[in-house]
Amino acid sequence: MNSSSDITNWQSYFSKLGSRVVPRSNIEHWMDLEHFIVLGCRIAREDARLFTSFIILCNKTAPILSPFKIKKIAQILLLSEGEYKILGYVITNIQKNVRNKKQWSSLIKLCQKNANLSKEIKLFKTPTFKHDQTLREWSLLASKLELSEVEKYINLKKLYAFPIINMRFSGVRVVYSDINYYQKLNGNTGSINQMAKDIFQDYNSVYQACERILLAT
Amino acid sequence: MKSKNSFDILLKALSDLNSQLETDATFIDLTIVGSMAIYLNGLDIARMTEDIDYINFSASDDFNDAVKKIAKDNELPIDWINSRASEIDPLPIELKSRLKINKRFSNIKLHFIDMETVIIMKVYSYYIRNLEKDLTDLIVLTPSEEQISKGISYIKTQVKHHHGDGQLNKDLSDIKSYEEFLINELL
Repeated sequence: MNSSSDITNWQSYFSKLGSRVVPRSNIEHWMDLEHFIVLGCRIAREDARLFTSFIILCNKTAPILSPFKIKKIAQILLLSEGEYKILGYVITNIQKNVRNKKQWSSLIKLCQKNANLSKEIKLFKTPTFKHDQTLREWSLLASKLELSEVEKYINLKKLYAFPIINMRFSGVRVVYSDINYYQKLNGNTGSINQMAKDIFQDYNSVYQACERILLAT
Repeated sequence: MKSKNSFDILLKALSDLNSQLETDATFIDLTIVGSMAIYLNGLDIARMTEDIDYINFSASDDFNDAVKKIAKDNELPIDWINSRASEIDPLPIELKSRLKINKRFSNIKLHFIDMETVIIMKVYSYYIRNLEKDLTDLIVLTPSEEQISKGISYIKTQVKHHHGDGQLNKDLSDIKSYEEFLINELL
């Protein structure tokens, strides 16, 4: 269940990532990118346009996402069976847009294991006239999504300028980009343990990364 | 403070376009179809729209340049106002006689289609494109049985116009199933 503040935070973060189908927001607040993706499997199905925009964002950011973090977050958030179907669809789309397809395969297997694919469910509130086959592969019933109209749903300039996206596309490793953006918004006075929890990384990786950042500065 | 929705943002962009036309002492006449027409008809739709669709206007280079500049200034897609809907032919027969007018701008005569024509065009769009977003709009529009029926007639007109009687006969059972689907789900 999502509280209204969860939805507002998610939408506000989505606006900062360039979505054109949520109210514009200038509020800057921390949210982990992979956490945003997994939460999207819960929240975005509220509306077809929102979901379309979300899937386009996942496709565009596919090369910089961490499958390991997504897997960890999906397990922490205790996704429902239906949400695993949506995550499966998301990952299938992501896999088409990445070179390291093997890394994503274990996540697809996790989704297949947790989703009852013999039981079809409506993706949105109402039934549809004709079902889209790519959605049906994950037992999701809905009509087609307008995935080719990228600029209509996402402001790509805004997306690629977003700090964490920009850093990762520039080659900064996931853990460093997460720490950098987290500290930019929250300062660097908090505990490593808390930061490791917030960015869904293990303590040792964060500790080592912080040490290296300290040595480099 | 309430966030601006995309209709407000697009109307602000249209207002910027009007200011540019004022400066150039130019007047234009646009006929708005699609989601913006729903909004101009006064239906308070919560969801966001992505663009403004117009028909019956041939854009000049100056118009296109102004549109590009406004897109940049307002962080909008380059085709935030576009004539893609002009490809729809023939238009619903009563479209012109049922047009409404909005007088908010000095240099843009803003015609827009009425709610019934919006529904007829949406019934057609969902059948042809099978896009989930068209169904979402139809649910919000709460059409009557008569309006669904008019939309179905419009589909038949389109199929006949573009592909002839033979194809229409082949498509009739599919169109019938579609009509039943809409009646079951929307009424």
